[in-house]
Amino acid sequence: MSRTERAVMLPPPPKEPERAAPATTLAPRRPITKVLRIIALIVATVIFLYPFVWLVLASLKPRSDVFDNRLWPKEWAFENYLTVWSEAPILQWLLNSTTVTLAAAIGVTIASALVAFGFGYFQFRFRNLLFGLVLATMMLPAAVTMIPVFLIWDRIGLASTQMPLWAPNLFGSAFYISSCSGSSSSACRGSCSKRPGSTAPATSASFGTSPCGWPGPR
Amino acid sequence: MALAHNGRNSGIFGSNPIRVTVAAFGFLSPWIVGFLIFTAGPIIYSLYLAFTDYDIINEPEFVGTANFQEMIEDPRVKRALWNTFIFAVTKVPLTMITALALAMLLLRVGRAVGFFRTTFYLPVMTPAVAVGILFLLLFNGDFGIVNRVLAVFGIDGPNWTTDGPWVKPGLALMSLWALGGTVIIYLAALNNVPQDLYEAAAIDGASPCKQFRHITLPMISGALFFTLIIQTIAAFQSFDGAYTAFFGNRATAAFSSDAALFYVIYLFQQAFQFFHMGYASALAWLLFVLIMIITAIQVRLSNRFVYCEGQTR
Repeated sequence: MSRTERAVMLPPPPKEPERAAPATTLAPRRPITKVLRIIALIVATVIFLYPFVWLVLASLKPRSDVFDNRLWPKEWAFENYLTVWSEAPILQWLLNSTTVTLAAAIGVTIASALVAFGFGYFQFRFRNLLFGLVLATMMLPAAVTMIPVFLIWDRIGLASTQMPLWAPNLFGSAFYISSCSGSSSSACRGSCSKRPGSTAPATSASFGTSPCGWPGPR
Repeated sequence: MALAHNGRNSGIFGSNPIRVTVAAFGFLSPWIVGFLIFTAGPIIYSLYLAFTDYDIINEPEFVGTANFQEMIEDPRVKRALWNTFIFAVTKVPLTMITALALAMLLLRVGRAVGFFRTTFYLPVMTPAVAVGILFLLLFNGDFGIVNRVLAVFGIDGPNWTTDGPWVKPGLALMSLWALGGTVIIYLAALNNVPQDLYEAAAIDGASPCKQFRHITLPMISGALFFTLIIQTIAAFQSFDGAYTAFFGNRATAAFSSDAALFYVIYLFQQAFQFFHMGYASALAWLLFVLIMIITAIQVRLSNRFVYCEGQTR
């Protein structure tokens, strides 16, 4: 359908679901545009995947061939993986990473969910002020707090342990708090929380139905 | 804000405002404690340290504004500020434009969108340290893929990793690889633009360019603004990639340490290599103030451009 044809078409009857046919409005129907779009996507995909492919294949080259100007190894060196495994404590490193990751991920999930629930569910004094503080900490350059935070860990003798890598997550992360409290689900903050008696069911018992994060009395 | 004691605030915590507040603060307590220990306390303490001479071993010694006077005379501070500024003004617009273009492409993909979204997000999950190493490999002047591709088009690529003026553009280009997060934000914003706006515009005969200019851009201006601020703050604090590429290994540190000396790298050196904690704190506060000023200017400017649905002005 060309654009002129569409232009003389009558507007669709009201209440017709808009999502049913987004292609008619979004995608230009000219084949050239479509081909160009596909080419652009393929180019972008290659650019984004190339470093990964290069890394994997380079890891299978003998050391002298890593920069041999070819992607595909001339000579395969699978023993690289055996060498690195036997010469470096890879297992220990993996264990370290796994421990820290698990502790950090579990901690930040539980803590952020609790705090986000506090912001999303309750109406209380200072709510907006505190929520503003949460948002403000996202903009705070970490460099400002870096030195004193290091000094704190140093003072309690934990500066050279794994603790500082995950323990701060037990206090929640401003990013996750704000993104799942429903109070800032759009960049235009307040579009959700300012909706009095919104479409969410009024009973706080029916969890999981609010359009923006935590359900609850608003 | 009016407290909404309209009977809805009952639930399991009752409707007594005091009980509700206590319950709310109970849920908030992890964040409040963390804020006091890891944010509020350190901010105040670092402001104090900025006026002292402190080497961790001896007690901090109050020196007045000596640190700030030293900063003005320190040529490396100027160098680092300039590098960081150039990097930020290169990287942030590049990231936003490229991410928006990719998001627009992805919007019309249809069923394969999952594959492409994963592809573009994969580099975000790659550690910044690995990105720094990859930069040295891919942008190597003699055998890096970037210059080999440029050579195909007859362009003699620069020595990205060793030629001072090219280091920052190179790092900015490399950082584009990890723009997946921004793509996701834009994609969500684009998906939220009501389709009937495009329908109406198409009926009125608006070209795709005009639709983009007058519907898409205003409708996603909130997301654009959000990423502008977050990206700028992040760019001013760039550390990992440049540090691993140019300071973490001796091979490259010798000839390009000045071109890639970003502000936070210099701050880190002062704090944790020379243990000038007082001086480093003063540096941190200068960065803090600069970022606040830049953010304030951006908010000012954006007030004119950001369109908020349901908001009258």
